[in-house]
Amino acid sequence: MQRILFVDDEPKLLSGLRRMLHAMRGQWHMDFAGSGAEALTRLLEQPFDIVVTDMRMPFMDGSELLRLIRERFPSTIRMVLSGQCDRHAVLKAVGPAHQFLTKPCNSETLKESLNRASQLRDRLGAAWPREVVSCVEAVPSLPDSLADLSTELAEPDSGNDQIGRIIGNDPGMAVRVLQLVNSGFYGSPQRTSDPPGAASLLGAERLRELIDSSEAFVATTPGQPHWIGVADVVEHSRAVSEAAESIAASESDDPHLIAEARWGGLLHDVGALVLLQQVPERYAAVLMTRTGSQCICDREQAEFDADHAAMGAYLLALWGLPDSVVRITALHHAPAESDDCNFTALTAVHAADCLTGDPEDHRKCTLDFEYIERIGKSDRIAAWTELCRTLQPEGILA
Amino acid sequence: MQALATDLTDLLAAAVPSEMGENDCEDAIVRLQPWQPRLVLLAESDGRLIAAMGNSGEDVAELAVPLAIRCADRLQECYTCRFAHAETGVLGTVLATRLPSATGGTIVACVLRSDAAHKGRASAKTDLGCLIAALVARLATGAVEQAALATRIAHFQAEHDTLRSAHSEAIIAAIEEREERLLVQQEHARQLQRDIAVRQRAEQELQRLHLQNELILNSAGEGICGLDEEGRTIFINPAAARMLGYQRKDLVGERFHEKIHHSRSDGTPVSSGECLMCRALYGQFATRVDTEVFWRANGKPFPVAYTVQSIDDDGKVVGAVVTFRDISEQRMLEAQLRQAQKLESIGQLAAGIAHEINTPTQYIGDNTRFLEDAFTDIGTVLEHFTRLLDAAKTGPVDPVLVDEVEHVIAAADLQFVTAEIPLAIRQSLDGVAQVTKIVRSMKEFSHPGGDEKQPVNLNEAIQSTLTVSRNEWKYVADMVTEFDESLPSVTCMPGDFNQVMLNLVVNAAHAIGEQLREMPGEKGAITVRTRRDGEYVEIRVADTGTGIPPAIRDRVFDPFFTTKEVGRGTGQGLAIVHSIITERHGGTIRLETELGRGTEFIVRLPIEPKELCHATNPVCR
Repeated sequence: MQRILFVDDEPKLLSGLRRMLHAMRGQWHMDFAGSGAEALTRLLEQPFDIVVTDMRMPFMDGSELLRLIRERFPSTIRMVLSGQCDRHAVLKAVGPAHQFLTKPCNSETLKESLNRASQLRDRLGAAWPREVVSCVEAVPSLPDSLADLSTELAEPDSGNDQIGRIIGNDPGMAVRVLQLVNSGFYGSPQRTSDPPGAASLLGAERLRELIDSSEAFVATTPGQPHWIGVADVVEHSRAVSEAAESIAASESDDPHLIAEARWGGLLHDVGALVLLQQVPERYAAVLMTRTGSQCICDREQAEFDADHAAMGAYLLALWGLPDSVVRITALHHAPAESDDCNFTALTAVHAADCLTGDPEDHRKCTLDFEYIERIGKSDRIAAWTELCRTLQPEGILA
Repeated sequence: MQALATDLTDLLAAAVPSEMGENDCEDAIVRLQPWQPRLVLLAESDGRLIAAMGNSGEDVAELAVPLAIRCADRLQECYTCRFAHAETGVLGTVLATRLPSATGGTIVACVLRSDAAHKGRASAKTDLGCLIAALVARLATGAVEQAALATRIAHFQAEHDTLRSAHSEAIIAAIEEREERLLVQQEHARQLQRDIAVRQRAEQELQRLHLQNELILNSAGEGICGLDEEGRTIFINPAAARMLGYQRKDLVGERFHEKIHHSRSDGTPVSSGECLMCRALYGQFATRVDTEVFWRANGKPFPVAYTVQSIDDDGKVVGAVVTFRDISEQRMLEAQLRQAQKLESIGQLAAGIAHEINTPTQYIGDNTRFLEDAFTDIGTVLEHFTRLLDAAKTGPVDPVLVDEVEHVIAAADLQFVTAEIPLAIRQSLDGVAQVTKIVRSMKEFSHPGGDEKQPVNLNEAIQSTLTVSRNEWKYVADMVTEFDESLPSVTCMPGDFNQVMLNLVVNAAHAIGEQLREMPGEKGAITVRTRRDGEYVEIRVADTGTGIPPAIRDRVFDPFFTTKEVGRGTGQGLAIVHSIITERHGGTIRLETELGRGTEFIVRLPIEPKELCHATNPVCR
């Protein structure tokens, strides 16, 4: 049974939640705390899977509480349920909170968000990977992207197109803007997996505040141990994004599917970025190991009890991103586990991931021919390979 | 006239060399000195011709004198103006000067010069310079007198020569005697000349000072007006006339109060007894006022700031000076600033109020949702009970049915549901009441009352402000209110008063917030008290915050003075409080503070508004 702790300084609000969620008592164990201190005491007595807290409370506010929980109980899923509207409060929550719900929040939305959160454990069984992902404050970006975004936002009439292009080229920033928009950090949540669209929903003003807060976006800098790795993964993600979009466009006219392939491609390796950021040395060692034809995922599984696909998917789900993109990330190495029976965005991303870049790269997984066969696209592999080859810059081939 | 022009040309040609520059002035004087005064007209300042020297006569005088007089009327030293002769169409320039005469009056001297005659000649300035020099030299001994004297000298000279040639010793002696007498006379004349020069210089200085004073008064941006002991305008400067929309002559001699200060902005009359300008005439008095209006010539009032000061002449008041300026623009800016600050604080409050409303809305929604579910569950239970009842009516009850009922009751958690329903309803109603209270307080707080004073129940107003600002203080402080329930209504501007209370309470909360940084896990207290004190009410807002360091105690009411970090405060809060209390309501505000213990602001407002004479103003007696 999932254990959920609600924290609010208004007792009537807690009673209301208790009553409204009484119907869920069969699935969830719910507890209620009237202050941050009380919440910490409860957590010490027995850990909770999910904490839902108000932001503004006397003595210890929500962001402080969530920071402490991140430190002491790292695998806890941290959510905010706040009526606070001022931007300052929201910015304070961006680092420590996984999801943000705005009061008044209707019971369906609340139940759905809690339901999604409580199913997260199914994605990642082992404790350590869950802790690692749960502690991620921000997924690393490339310094150039962040600098470009700063420069563009400094312009008095920053163009949405330009901002969207920059954010749509950097998985770290993309996943952050999608989190803020899909979860209700700024008003009602919008289900979208389109980073430029999400960036334009946020608007230049908020993006500026987010950049200034220095918690929302973080750049890897040359000299950090994971610098090269991050740069490689971002480069690869961009290439896969482009290739997946082309492959999808060659198979389908559905703009929705094409967009899904593009953004799935951009985010599919977000788990690798997390590993590079959190355990750079260990992950570098894993990447360097050559053990015959063993897939990278198996090596990760052996080292961390989870592969980058599962960890990336966990992060995206934890941050409230739509299921479609979570699914692509989770299955991009194992599309056969999906129930696909015809071409989907997942097919495009899987194919693009395998067909882009150096075919000899030992980090890559190989194309799942059985899966392609299953969805009846075996005859298209040659065409996709050609597509990916033409898209690649000369430098990488050489 | 043509003849005159020709004549003048010749004369000028003789007198002024064609290439003469400014430096040659002395030369020209020399040249003019050998009695070529025929250019010169002399006249009394009323236009009577004294002499028209060196020209053919009447027609010159007829034309020149009135022109000269007209010019000289307006000039101090010398004057140049253009003329056109009506009959001949000759164009020219009149050069004129006004000079003190030997008898203490004024003589006007002028020269006419046609354009044709002047072409290619030296500058007018040089001409006039020469002319003046000549005149000064001549007039020193009295122009007419000297002309006669010159004639006589010439005469004597001739006689002398004749006699000399005749070798008549006796006559020579007589002539020498005469010459001696003449020398004495000449010495006398020179003495006279020196005296005149001294006097002339003194007069010039006097004139210069007069001019300077007039220039200063005329250039002053403020309206300046002198009143005699009857309150009549005896002097008014152009700025004053311009502001009032009158010609200066329309105001001079009129009673200032009756003309421009007769009514208030609402049209009710101001009696001369109430008029501070009139009061200044009855005894030593000085004050500054910026709450009244003056009336323009077009019948429209405008807000003024004026000072009035009695003029004291040896212990006796002989009049008053009123200095004023139009403060319409200042008033407008002040109003805009107040509005901006109000909007700023409402904006700041809005986020807090949203939070205050969102919380009850959340639990009202949750409770209602619970009631909905509970009703469905109870419906199911009731349905089973009905079935059970129906079965019981028809005979012995099937135990399966009883089991079912028990099962349904357990599934519905009936115990929980029945215990919680009344609470859910109660708390929802509380929530609705809470939202209603906030919304009503917001409406009261953002009172659109404007600038009209009206009776206000201060306790209620304070309560509304505390409600709307609750989110600003509740996390750092408990609110204690000690209201005097018998407090009378106070005539004031409700919007302004709310603004004052908001600023004081938010300020108190910030001070406590600062203090709590040192000791987290604590909460401070804000105490708001009201009480009546004679003709005043006293409102005290005390906090348990940081207190104000002695070094800045005197500055807390200064505009733009702030100790808060950028973005936290504009530094306008207390300045606006001060301005609203003292300037707009005639009240006072002071503070008592102790470092580390807290601060108390003490506001005193008159129950009935009184005449606004600034108590804080040093010139106010």
